[in-house]
Amino acid sequence: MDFLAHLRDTGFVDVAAGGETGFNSSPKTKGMLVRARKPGLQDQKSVVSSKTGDIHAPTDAEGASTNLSSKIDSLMQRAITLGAEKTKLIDTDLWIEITDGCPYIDR
Amino acid sequence: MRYDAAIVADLPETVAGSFCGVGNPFSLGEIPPGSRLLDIGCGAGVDALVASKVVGPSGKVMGIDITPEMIRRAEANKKEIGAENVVFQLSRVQDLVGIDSSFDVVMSNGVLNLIPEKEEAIKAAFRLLKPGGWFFLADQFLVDPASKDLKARIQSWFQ
Repeated sequence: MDFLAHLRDTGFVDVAAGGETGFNSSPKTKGMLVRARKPGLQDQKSVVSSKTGDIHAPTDAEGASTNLSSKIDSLMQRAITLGAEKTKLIDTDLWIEITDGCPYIDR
Repeated sequence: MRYDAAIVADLPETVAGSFCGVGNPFSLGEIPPGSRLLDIGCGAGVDALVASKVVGPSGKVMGIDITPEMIRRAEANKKEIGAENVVFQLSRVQDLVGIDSSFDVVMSNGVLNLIPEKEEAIKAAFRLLKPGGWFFLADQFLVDPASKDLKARIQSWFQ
């Protein structure tokens, strides 16, 4: 199915057809279920220290090719460019409540 | 289509009768309570309202559609069941900005086949998902090559 390849080309991983839906809208079409996942940090095989926020980029020995630290830095810089006064890498276990600036608050 | 029987039974007939999907995207994986879910092409909102029960009060659901009449119907359905964790918005998915990486699940049921700008829509779904988030899709796929005549007819229809 070319559509699955298209999802992979977009950047999705774990792309899979989930079976037929049982409803076909025409003799030339088939109802199908498809699922795909956006890569997470775990896909980059990095190690994050929850206490210090240090990011350990994948090593060459692990066969990784991404520089996670520089990606995080660029994202933080982009936040500044978009208007943030400060940025900070935080522990993922820490809950944040957004109190303003979000049009979907309380919705 | 094997939707959760308990949830479907809880929907008023006027709401359930609005369904026009082509499959059950909920069958593709677990959606934990508290999840944030986007339904692309929500229509009258049936899947979004089902999702509102799946994600529970701590979750949030957004349903978008490009048809004003469908959004109006979705809002009416939402009012009928009293869902408080769902919002409906008139929008194309690619026009959603400022909320990148917001959703645990992006879902679409019988809609992608209707979107001319499929590549843009898929890229938008990717952009809107949180890292690690899932795209659940039920749709109709062409399995028999369309004849040249059919392609010409479709092309002329868009002109």
